[in-house]
Formats: sequence, C-alpha cells, structure tokens
Amino acid sequence: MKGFEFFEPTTLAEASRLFAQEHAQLLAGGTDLVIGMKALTETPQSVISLQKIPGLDGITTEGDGISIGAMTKVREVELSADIQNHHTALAEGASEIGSIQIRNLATIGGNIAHASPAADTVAGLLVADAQVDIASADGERSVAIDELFTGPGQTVLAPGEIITRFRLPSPASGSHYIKHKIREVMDLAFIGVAAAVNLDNGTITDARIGLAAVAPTPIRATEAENLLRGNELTAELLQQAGEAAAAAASPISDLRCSAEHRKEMVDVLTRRTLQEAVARA
Amino acid sequence: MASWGEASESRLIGKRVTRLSGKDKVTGKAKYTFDINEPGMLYGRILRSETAHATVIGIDLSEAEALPGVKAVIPLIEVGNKLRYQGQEIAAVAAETDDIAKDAIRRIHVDLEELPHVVTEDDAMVEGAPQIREDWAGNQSEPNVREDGDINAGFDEAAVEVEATYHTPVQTHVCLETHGHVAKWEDEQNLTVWASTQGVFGVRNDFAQHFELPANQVRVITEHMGGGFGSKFGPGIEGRTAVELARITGKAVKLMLTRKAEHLVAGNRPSMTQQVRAGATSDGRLIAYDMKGYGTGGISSGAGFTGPYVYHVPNSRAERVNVAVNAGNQRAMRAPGHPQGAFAMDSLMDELAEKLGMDPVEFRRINDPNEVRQAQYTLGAQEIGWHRRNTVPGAGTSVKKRGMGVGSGQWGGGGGRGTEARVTINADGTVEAVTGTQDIGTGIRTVIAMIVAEEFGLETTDVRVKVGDSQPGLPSGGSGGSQTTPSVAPVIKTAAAAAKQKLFERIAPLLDAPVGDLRVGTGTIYVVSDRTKTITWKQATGQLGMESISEGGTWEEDLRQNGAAGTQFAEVEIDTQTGAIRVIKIVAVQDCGLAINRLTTESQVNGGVIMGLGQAILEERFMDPVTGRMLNANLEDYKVPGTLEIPEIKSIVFDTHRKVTGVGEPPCIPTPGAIANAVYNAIGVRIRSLPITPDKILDALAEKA
Amino acid sequence: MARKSHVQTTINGETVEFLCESRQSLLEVLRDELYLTGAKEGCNNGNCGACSVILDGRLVNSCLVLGVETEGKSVETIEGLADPDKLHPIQDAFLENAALQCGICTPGFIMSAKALLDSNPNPTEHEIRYWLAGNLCRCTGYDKIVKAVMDAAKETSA
Repeated sequence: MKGFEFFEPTTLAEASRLFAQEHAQLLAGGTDLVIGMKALTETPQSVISLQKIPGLDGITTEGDGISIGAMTKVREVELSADIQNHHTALAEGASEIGSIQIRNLATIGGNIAHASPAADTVAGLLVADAQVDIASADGERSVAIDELFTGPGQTVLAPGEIITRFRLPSPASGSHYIKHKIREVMDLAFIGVAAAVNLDNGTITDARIGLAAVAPTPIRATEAENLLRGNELTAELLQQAGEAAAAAASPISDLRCSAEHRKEMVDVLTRRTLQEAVARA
Repeated sequence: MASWGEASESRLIGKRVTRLSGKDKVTGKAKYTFDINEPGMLYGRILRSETAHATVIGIDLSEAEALPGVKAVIPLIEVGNKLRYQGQEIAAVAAETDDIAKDAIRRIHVDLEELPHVVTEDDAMVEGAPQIREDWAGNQSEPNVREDGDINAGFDEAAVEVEATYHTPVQTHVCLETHGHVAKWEDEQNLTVWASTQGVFGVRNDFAQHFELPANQVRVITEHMGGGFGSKFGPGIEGRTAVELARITGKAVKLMLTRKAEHLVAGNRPSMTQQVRAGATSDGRLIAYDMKGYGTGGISSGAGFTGPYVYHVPNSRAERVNVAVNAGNQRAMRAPGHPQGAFAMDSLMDELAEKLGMDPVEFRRINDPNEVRQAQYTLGAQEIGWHRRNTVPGAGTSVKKRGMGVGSGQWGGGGGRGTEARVTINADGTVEAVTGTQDIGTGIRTVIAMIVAEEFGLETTDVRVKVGDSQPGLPSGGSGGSQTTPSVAPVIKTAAAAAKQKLFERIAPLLDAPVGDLRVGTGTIYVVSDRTKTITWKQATGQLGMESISEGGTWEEDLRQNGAAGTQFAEVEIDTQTGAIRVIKIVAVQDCGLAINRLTTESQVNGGVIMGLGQAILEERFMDPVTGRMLNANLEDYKVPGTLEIPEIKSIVFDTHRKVTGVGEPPCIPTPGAIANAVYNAIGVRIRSLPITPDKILDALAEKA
Repeated sequence: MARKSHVQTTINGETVEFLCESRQSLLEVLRDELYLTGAKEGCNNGNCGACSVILDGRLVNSCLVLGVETEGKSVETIEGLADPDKLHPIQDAFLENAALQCGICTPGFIMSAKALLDSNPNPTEHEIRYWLAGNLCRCTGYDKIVKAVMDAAKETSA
C-alpha cells in the first residue's frame, strides 16, 4: 500500500469534515478499501476510520420496522433473528459475502457505499424498500435505496457524506435471495436476485424484485412486480414475471459470465426466488 | 535380492502412521522460506512488466536509488532487449522494509516501445498474426508426428467413427506459498539460501555454477515448503536476483513472489486443443486414431500432452504443434501432459462406446491391456454403483439430473538413482537418518522414519530425520515425477539394513550367537534359535562405547517399481436451469505399489482428485487479447476448489506388489475425464472443453433443444 | 522515515506493544515486526484464509486488518493455542487424521476451526465445511481436515 495518514475521529461531524477533503477515504471494515489499497486502485492520502464513532452499529426494532446501523458487521446481519425472520433475503444476501473471515470485518454500510452493482446485500435492501440515512457535517438526509446508486461504484453521496443507518419499514411475508455463482462461497455474484412478497389469503398484495449485477446499478424489476400485484402466483404468471424481470436487465459480458447467460439467469432465478418467497409467506 | 518382506511381517510399513514434523506445522513453529527472518535482513522486490510485448528503450533507476531505506537497485533486463510477457522481470530492489521496497519499484521509470502481442492460440495462429518468436513462423513449432501402424487401413476396418475436438485451458499451480528465497552470504565464498523448492541440490548446483562457487560452499535449506506441484525446480530469476542483491548489500535478502507474479511467471500447465478422428470395430476394438493437436506453453516453451493414451490402438497418428503466445512459460504441473490427454481420450472412448451401443466400462475392458486396471474397473464400478447409472444419458424431466462416468490414468513413478543417505546409530540408542531430499508435503520424512524404525524395532518418534539441507552433502534428486519415495526409500532401507548388520556384528559375541541368528523385536534384539537370549535396544547400542555406526545405502532396483495404474468413477448432479454442476462422489482406485504410509498415501490420492476436480470444473487462465494481460491473476477469479466443492471421495489404495511406486501425480489424471463423462451421462450433451462451467452446460442444452 | 504509530494490543493473552506504519497490515506486523510467523501470507487480499487469526473473539483475515486498527484489541494466533505441555485438541486431531501435507494452510485452518468450536461446539459436517470455506488448501483435498474438526468437536464437547 502507499502511505497514508490514519484518523480515528470520535464524532460524525469530525469524520465528515475529514472525509470531505481531497484524497480521503472512509475505513469501515476494510474488506474493500484495504484490498483496493493493496492493488493500488485506491490511493487515499487520508484514511478515516469510522470504528470509534459510537452509535453507528447495531440492529434495533422500531415498531414494525428494523433499523440497521451502517457499521453493523455483515456477519451480524446474517445471524440476526429479526432480519432472518422478517427480511430473509437480506440475511441470505449477507451470508453470501465472501467467507466468515470477511463477514466478520465487512460492514453493511461499506458493502452499500462501495456501490458495486454485484453487492450481495443490495438486492435484499431493495426488496425491503430500505431508507438510507446519510449524515455530514452540514446535517442529515435520507434517500430511498433504489435512488442511492448512479452507476457502477457511484452514489448520490456528496463529498463528506457518510451512510449512517438503513431503515427497513415493514417486513415482507416472505422473501428469498439467490446469488448465481460458480463456487459455493468466495465468489462475486454473477447475478443476484431477491424477491419479497406480501400475501393475503394467497393473493400477492405486494411484490418486490431486486436485481444485482445485471445493470449499471442495482435495480427493481417494476414491470414484473406490476404483473404480480393483486394476483395469485400461477405457473403462467411465474413465467411471465421471470421474462419481465429478464427484460428489465441490461447486463454486460465479462470474464465471469456472458450477458446472455446473465439475462437467462435473471429469468430462472426470479422464478425461483418468487416461488420460495411465496412458500415462506 | 533386497525386499520389503511380507505384509504380515510388517509392524509399521503399510500401516497408517502419524506424520512427523506435523507437530511443528500445527503449532506454527515450522519455518517456511517465507517465514525466515535474519538479523538485518532486507526485503527484495521485483519490478515486472505490465506489457505483453515491448522493446526496452530505457530504464531509469535513479529515483528508486535515492529513496531512503533502499540499499540496492539492479536492472534485470538490458536496454534493447524485449519484454515478451506480462510479469517479465525488469529490475529489482532491496530495501530495509517491504513497504520501502514496493515504494522503490514504483519509482523505477521504464521507457518502452510497445510491440504487437498475441496472447491466445487462436490469435497467434491466425493468418497475418504478428510473429512473436524469431524462429517460429506463424508462431508455431514444426509439427511433431508419431505414427504407428496404418491409420487408413484402420479406418477401413472401423464400423463406427467419432470426430471431435477437445480443449483444456492453461492452468496455474497455485502453490499456497509463493516462490521465493532468503539469501545470505556468510562471506565472499560461502552462501546460504533458504529456498521454497522441490530440489535442494538442483538449486545448490545452479547457484554454485552461476556465482562461480565451489558446490560444497553453497548451502540450500528447505526444511518446509508450501507446495510445488512441479513449479519449484531451479531458483528462477527471482532466486538468482535474491542472491545477487544479498551479495551487493552484504545483508540477507528475502525475495518472495506476490500472488499476482506467481500466476504470471511461476509456471503453468499448458493448454491443449486436440482434433481427433477415431474408429472402432463392430466387436469393440479401437482400430484407428488420427489426432492433430496444439497448445501453448507460453513464449518459449512447449505444450506436451498425451494421445492416444492408456488404451491400445494399433493404428495411430498424432501430430503436435506448439504455439507461442506472449505469456509466461509452462513448468511441469502434476503429471505433465496426462490429465488433459486423459480427458480427451476418455471422452473419446465414451463417444465411441455410445456409437457401438456398449457400456463405457466394457468398452474399456476390451481395449485396456493393463491387468491392474481391469481389476480396478471392477472394484470402482462396484463402489460407485455403476449399475444405477442412467441407461439413456439425459433421460428424465427433473430439473436436477445425475450421471456417472469413468476415466483412467497411467504414470511411471519408479524413482531413480542419485540419492545418497546415511543412517546412524548412536551409543545412547538414538538413531538418525539423513538425506538431501526435501519434504514438499508428501510425508517423506515420516516414510524415512518408518523404514528405519521398522528395521531397528523402534518407533518412528525414535528416529531423528534430517532432510531438506544440502550441507550434509548427501544429494538426492528433485521431488518431481512422483520420484521421491521410490528414489529415497530403497536407499534408506539398505542403509538401515547395513547399520543393523554392523550392530549385530558388534553384539553377537555378547549374545553368544552367530550374527545370522540375530533378529530385532520391538525395542529388543534376540537370538532366533533361543529367545531367552535377548537384550534391549539400548543395551545393544551401549556396547558401542564412544563410537557410532553410520552407514550409507544403495538404490536397490528390486525395492521399487515403475507403473502406477489408476481409474476413477465420478457421479455428478447438474441443475439444468442454472447449469450449476455439483460433483457428488468420486471413487479413486489407485495403484501405488507398496504404500509405505497408508495415511499419507490416502492424502495424496484425495489431494490429487481435488486438483483434478479443479481442472474439470473451475480452473482457467483468462487472457485479455486487448491488453495482453492475465485477467485473473489472483485467487478471487482464478478459482481453486474449496471445502464446499468437495465430493464424497472414496480412495482405494490398490496394493499390487511389495515394491515402492510414487503416487504424487497419478491420482489427478483420471478425474477430469471421469467428470466430463458423468456430465454427459447426466444431461445427454457433451462438453468437450474444460472447465465445465454453467454457461457451457446451458449453451449445450440449448443447442440440443 | 514514515511516521509510525504506537499500538498496544493483547496477543495470545500477553500485552504487546509495537510500532507500525498505518499502511502495515496486522499480518505484516505479526510476521515482520513480532516474528510470529504462524499466520501465513497466501494471497494478501482476503481470498485464501492462510492469515486467519481471531480478533476480539471473531475470526478474520489479518491481511485485511490494519495494524493500527488493533489498538486495545485482543488477538489470538496459532502460537497461543497449545499449552506448554500439551497440544490443543484441534491440533491433536489434525495430526491423528493426517489433515495436513505441506502444512502452509494449517495454522489458518486450525484458527478457523477454533473459532468455529468456540461458537458452535457441536457442528454438523456441513456446518464445518461452510465455516471453513474461507480457507484454501491445495494439497489435501479437505476431507481429512473436515474429519479432524469433527473429531476435535467430539473431544472438546465431551
């Protein structure tokens, strides 16, 4: 790594001020930043650790909703009973990141802020309709998760802005996340699909489908969702939803996977996640 | 005639014995080359090319030299010479810390004139491709042709024919400890090097020659090393660079390769593309085989592979061409040439069998001259449950489909001369065995201890084994070709036997018996005709007073044998919607001659199978035609098997004779063919290109539909 | 000369102080400054697990942790596992099951196994494989490693 100055601020305001300067990067768990610094794709002159700022981690329930601090370890998200029960797709997504070693360091805030279209927690947050709380030295604001990303590795965060919290409003009846990969663990997602449904007597009152690694940003398959809303899940509807989701995807070909293969898998995995989500509901 | 004796007489040999040196490894005490720290040691790093093909116009070392903490900077290529692959060495630095060394290489400025490159065989062989090797027009070597019989007559006799093309990509070894050395000049004429190597004496001799030192003044030490798989013979440029930096600075220098450099320059298994046409008679005999094949071993090395392989075909023609690309050169990788050849041959066999309407195992029986494998087919088929196999490949409508397949392999492993060893008995009863071989993870240390312990009636923990150091001056060959055990074991055995004989001669008068009547028991020596006459081992050796007995051994050919036959059966499951492939079970029946330590032999078989599995479904070097670089020079996108990829493995150590044969390589040969055949049996479409990945499966299924 | 930070940690139960640059990873500090070479460098970017240590009770890749991040924290490495007079049951189990060949991945696997058994004393085979999936081995084919951990679990939970 190239040399850098290391800061451990104890307040968000201080962190934000430092982060707003040029050539500064935030250190949450280090599993993206430290790898980037070793590869020299990241060469910050200042590294600002968030680890000493109180109140940024932890999972709490607020009525029907769940609040996840941005510095919460991915492993904690994976193991949280509340998240497993009410936002299963998110817990499953968290469990797909790297290895246990990685998940004990990585944070959900880091996974989202790094803004890879293939991030494993993003699809689960999309279908949970998560709100992203953001803080800076100038104040706070909140952004819906599906408005956070502007491109691969890019977000709406202004200089100095730090993600502090994810608020998941209300649980789905059932949700599921599937990551398409080659090895069982330690693989980046070729694609990631999450589906969450709310059921009332067998009718889908709400459906949310989140797709990762198939477009420049993570996306919701809104056409597919519209097809499902208000209906029962028949085999025919399932097929239509899968096709609609695949149509929403605009994946690239890369050394991991071809674009055609990715599109095909969006169809297959949308159907599988929907079936499982409905079964769990 | 020397012999290992009957199995019933063996107390240790052929049994499962805990590995010596294991304790140091499980406690973290074992020092690998990467772990060596010498007082005042400097860190060496190499600047490597990021360009695939360029002429060096200028190298400016001045900024690096000026960096505080840098003690030496040297060029590794002359201006005017060419860089011919990503990773090739440009210059090297020695500095007080590893970080300063890395800072320094970033401050070396190189002026390059880029040249056109080709990094895939297809691009290299196309008409009009840039010629990247002066001596190879069209980037191809002269064809090498081998012929047997008359293929035209053979094809005339054939009732069925198959024409197919099989392909395997370049694979890298992925030793978990990268290549590297710690070099230290004791004085101007004496050099010590800790090396992560499979050949202590080979490295020693290379350094002695290159640095013009007497061989006995170069000491190479490999007490432990973190994997070689064929890639760690000879010091390489990085080894000579470490020694040179140490010479210039007067300090010890540690120079280890990064994981990226390891993928790029530390060797690889060459690729293979085989176009085959083969025929069989109506009664199931292979009759004709015509193959044209090529592969790349990098910029200046070859790409050997077997074909025809294992099965007998009386009329054959094989034409091979090596293709040059701007990439790092091949180095022997676990059974060089065999696994890729086996994949092609075993796939071909199954394709022919299908045309004949024959069971693949039955078809192999007719064409396999090896009696050992005939028995192995029976055993393996039974163990996997071959009768449960799909009769119609791809039958059924379930999303997940299962199938079984078979593959075979043949290796040498008979060892050779060149090992010197010494076994010493001390007066206090302690025993030492020394030889210059290296334990690269095979467990040869333990094997040596077992042989000596068996000979003396002791426990393995009573024997102090010293390997991996050239200083005692007892050479041994490199640990490759599955040669270690068959080369070393006979010499150790005869040395121990000679030492025992000398001890017997000393104590025979004490027991008032002829020397020929003495035997060892467990910790005792007794007279076979009168068991009341017995003394303990310590009492016997106490007779030596102030002396020791120290004997060398000889390489008795009767104690080892060439030829390790193997066969494997695989069961796989394919998700026909996602293309995901899961290997469920592998049965590996492996002839390893006399397995001295059954525990380590089983480990070798398991490890070989997993490496074969990696070749079958995961591993591939990706080259970017545009930049000329390797796209997956890391362990994220170069995928090796992990704990969740492993199938149930049933290893059957198939003892055939009481002679030692090496087993390091044979078990990785049959695996890819067995898996590929199992995939066909499961889904009814054949993947002829490794690795078998989900996208290939889905493409093949789509084509069939 | 780059600025170094003073860091105080607990390593294998003992208070340890060291100086390091902010860019030195915990792995580099352990191996190059403290000469605790049990943790190994296999890939240097979190993909092989050979550098695994236990940090504040959690299994991590020490190559991804900065040395300066460990101020006030506790680190367990392979060197601290055995008692002076006997090995840890996991270490014994690895030896008895021949769960190692070249052995370079072994310290990482053993620390991973320890972290597993600390949190789940009676894991199933699948749980063991899943937990160990962040550790690579090129020699053994893994099955003896898994068996060793199962044996160690029986031993420690007995």
